[in-house]
Order: sequence, then C-alpha cells, then structure tokens
Amino acid sequence: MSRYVLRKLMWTVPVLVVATTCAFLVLRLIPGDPVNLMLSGRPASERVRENLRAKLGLNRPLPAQYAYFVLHALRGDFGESFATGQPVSQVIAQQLPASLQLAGAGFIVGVGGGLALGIAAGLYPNTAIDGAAMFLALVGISMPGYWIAMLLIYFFGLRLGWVPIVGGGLPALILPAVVFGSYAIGNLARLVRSSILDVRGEDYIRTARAKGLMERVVVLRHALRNALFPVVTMTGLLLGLFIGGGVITETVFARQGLGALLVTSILTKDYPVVQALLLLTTAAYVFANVLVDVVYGVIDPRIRYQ
Amino acid sequence: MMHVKPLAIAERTGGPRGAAAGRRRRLTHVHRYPLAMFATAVLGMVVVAAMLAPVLSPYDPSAMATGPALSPPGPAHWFGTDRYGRDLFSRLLFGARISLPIGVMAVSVSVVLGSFLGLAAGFLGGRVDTVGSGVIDIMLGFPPIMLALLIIAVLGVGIQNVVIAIGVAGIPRFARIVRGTALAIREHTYIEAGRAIGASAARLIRRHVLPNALPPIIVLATLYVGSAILDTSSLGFLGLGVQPPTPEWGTMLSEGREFMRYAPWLMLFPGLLVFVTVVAINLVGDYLRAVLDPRLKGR
Repeated sequence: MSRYVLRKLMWTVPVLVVATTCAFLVLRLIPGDPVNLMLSGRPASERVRENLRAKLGLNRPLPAQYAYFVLHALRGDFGESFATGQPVSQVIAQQLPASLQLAGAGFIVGVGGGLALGIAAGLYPNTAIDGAAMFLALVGISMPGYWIAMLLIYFFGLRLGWVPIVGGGLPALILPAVVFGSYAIGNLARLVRSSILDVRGEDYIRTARAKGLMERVVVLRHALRNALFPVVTMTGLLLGLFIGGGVITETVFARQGLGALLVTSILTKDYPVVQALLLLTTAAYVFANVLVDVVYGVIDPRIRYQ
Repeated sequence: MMHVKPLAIAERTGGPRGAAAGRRRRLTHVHRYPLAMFATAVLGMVVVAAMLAPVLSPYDPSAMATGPALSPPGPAHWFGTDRYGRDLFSRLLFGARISLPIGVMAVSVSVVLGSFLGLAAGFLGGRVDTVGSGVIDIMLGFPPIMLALLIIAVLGVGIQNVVIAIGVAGIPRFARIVRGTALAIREHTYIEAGRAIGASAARLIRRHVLPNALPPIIVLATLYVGSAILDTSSLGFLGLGVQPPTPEWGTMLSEGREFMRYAPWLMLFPGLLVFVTVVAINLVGDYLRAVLDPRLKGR
C-alpha cells in the first residue's frame, strides 16, 4: 500500500515542476517590460526602474531567476502584488475563507443532488422519473453556469425576494452553492445511474434478488456500493477545482474568493498573484487526484496491483 | 477518400454483452432517435441563422439607437434593445457567426494537435510513447480551466487567443483517447501485414490507423464543440474573452448583467441561445456515440 501511495506521489513531481516553470515563465513571456506593469504607467527614472528590476530579480541570469523563484515559492513567498504592494501570500490568505465556504457548500449541494438524481434514475430506469432526472442532469451540464446564476438571482432574489443576493451569512450562500454544485450534479447523476445499471447483471445482484430482497434494498445496499466509485472521483475533482469552479460563481454573485481574485489579477495584469494562484490551484488539483487514487486503492485492492 | 476497415468496426459494434444489455441499447437507441433528429434540426437552424445573419437580421448589429434604449421585446424589436438601443435579435444572429466558428476552430486545434500526439505515442510506442504519455499526463494534471486562463494571462484577451487557449486546453483529452485507440489498432493483423509489405510508419498511420481511430475522434470532437462554445461564452462573460462591442454571446450577457432588474431580456435571450445550442450539440454527440462507437458509452 505504501509503495502504491509513493508511486502516486511521485507522479505529482513532474506536474508540479511544469506548473512551477509555467508560473515562472508567465512574467517572462508577457510582451513588454514587467517593470512598466509595476509602475502602471507612472513615469520613473532609469534608476527607479533599475531598482524595481533588481527587486523582481530580473537583472540576474535566467537560471538564477528560476532558482530564486522556486526557492521562494516553496516558502510560500510569491513577492508583492503589483496592484496593492501587499505580499501575495497575504492577498490570498484574505480570500481563502470565502472560497472554502463556497466550495464546501457547493460540494454538499453537488454530491447530494447528484447522488439523489442518479439513484432515482437508476432505481427506475426508462421511466418518467429516469427521464426527468436525466433531463435535469443534461441541463446541469449544458447550461452555462453564469446563466443559471443570473436566472436564479433574477427569480429568487429580485422577483420573489426569497434569498438575499449579496452579503454574508448562510442565506446568501444558497444560490452560489447551487450554481457551484450544478455541474457536479449533472455529471454525478449520469455516472451514478450508469454504474447502477452496469452492475445490475452481476452475479451478486442476482444472488441478492434470489434471497428475496426487495428491489430497493438490492439497489441501495448492493448495487450502489459500486456506484460510489464515481462519487469518489467527483469528490476529488471538486476538491481540486475549488478555485476554478469559483471563477464564474464568485464573479456573478460579486463574492470574494480566489476565483474572483484570479479574474481580477489577470485583467489588471497583477502577475505575481496570477503566478501564485496558478501554482496553488494546480497543486490542489494534483493532490486531490492523488487522494482519489489512494482512496480507490483502499476501497478496491485490485487497483493497487495494476 | 478515407476507407474504414470493416473488420475493426464489426469488432467494435459486435460482441455479445448479454440479452439485457442488447435490449437496453436498442431501447435507448429508439428513444434517442427522435430527440437526436430534433437536436440536429435545431442545430441546423442555428447554423443557417448564422450564415444568413446579414439577410435575416432586421437591423445592423452595431447600429445604435435603432429604437429606444432598453426597450422590451415587441414587434419592432423581437428580443428588445440594449442600453445603446442596439437590436438584440440582430446582435444574437451575428453573435452566432462569432461563437460557432470559435467553438469549431478551438476544437480543430485540439483535434489536430491531440491526434498527432496520441497517434505518435500510441502507434510508435517505445521512447516516443514514454515522452508523449508524460506530456499528456502532465497536461491532464492541470485543472482544465487553468490551462486556458494561463494562456489568456500570457497572450491577453481577444478572439484569436480564446481559440488558442480553449484549443490547447482540449489537447490532452483527445490525445488520451487517440493514444488508446492507436494502441489497440497496432495489434491488428492488417497492421502486421502492412509492415510485412514494407509500409512506412507514416503510411500505416495515415492509411490504416487514422481512419479506424476516426469514430471516437468524431464523437469527442462533437461533444467538445459544445463545451468549447460554453467556455468561450464563459471567458467572454468574465471579460477575459472576446471583447465588446463584438456581439459574442457571453460578452453580451455580461453587458446585460447590470440591467438585469430592468431589462431581464438582455440576459435571458443570449443565455437561452448558448444553452439551446450546447444542449443540441450534446444530444447530437450522444447520438453519434451510440451509433459510431458503443465502446465509449457511459464514459
């Protein structure tokens, strides 16, 4: 088991190295002089520019710059935001709680909703229930997230006034959580349904039926156990996507969070923040994937020896 | 003209999987057929509307003050007008000429580069495969939207960069499928026969591997056009894609956002159009999958 975990962890190294290199190159590949971005159009003497360049480390040879970047990144030091002059780590730390809140709530909605729809469809395949559940799933996958958000805001926030659309607290989290979870609902529902249908022909299902168990018990206790695999995958992916998933939701609802921060920093060309978020997101995603693999290995010993 | 080896197709579609599975497949096939036809018709309408936009649209899409600003849908302006008094219906028609081609072009980038990578890795094997699979795995290791955002962060916003960003982000998914298919095809007797008569690897790939790998590529590409259109509109909505005043659907939605309370039609119609188009593409893709490549079902 530990060898299996180790093998999975080894796999993260090349991805993280490439991610670090990409993050490093972002500031070097952009057209123009990064110092101009730092000055954001203000005039400055050549002396000041030289100082700024030294501060960014741009006056050193490229390999030295890279080593400097990696060593500092490992310590969580991504320099200072071009926009505010705050340390990047501080900027991110401020936005993290809001993102985690959204991800947590969205996760509950997404996994809960997806499981419910998938099980309902799997229990009664090719019925109206199945059709309705799969239609909802298709809507969840095909509907643009920002459009779901705007429709929800319009109807439940503006027209009916049931939920607040701005501000903090749990009520204001409801709609964002639904939007955040909508994609997971759709995907998960389809996966759970097809896994339930796939295991229907297995011997142990026939045995369970032969014992005279009720169909519901057969599905819930025996078929669903195998249907839980996609849930594990989806869980891991959602854990890793909490920044990316927040990009749309946070922007539409004008919420704080890392996704909104990423969009703003790309638009304002605040590259130190972009670099840090890029690395952070990728690392979260990669480790979430490893976690998924490890959990798979625990549930299903066969996987470990492949 | 590509010719597909009937042998490989037969192997793919055949294979007894139990009477129940067969019955289920037939049932869903029959069930899906009318829906898929309907989806194809809807998609066809969107495409025709895009092509005939200059003829069909009642106003110039960028002409301001074609009527009162923010006027609701009515006989003069079917979908209402925006804050500059531009006709929303005309802008949506012309928007299809932006959003659809971007989706198709982005997917072409993914298909061509992804297939190249996948074919090389899967068919040539050995060191090429080690490197190729490594590249695919590393690219898959990135969260999908981050790859696109990273490219936008470096290249900046605009139509061309959106195509590149979404296209490159899709490469690893195509490469993985194509590599898997190429690996399977490599073991067939006709490839061995081709080798025996001295065909080069390039010729084997071009004449034998590629045509047989096409069905899964076509299915995946269709489904990806839908998600590419969705991603394009999302980037536009975030302000990171096509820039106003170009009438891209997502960009228009974002422009209509601040008037949601007073002019909900500005967000209703563009979103509806994206939604309908993407659903139609997904349904057509699902149908193609059922017809062309049953192995991919449920994945």
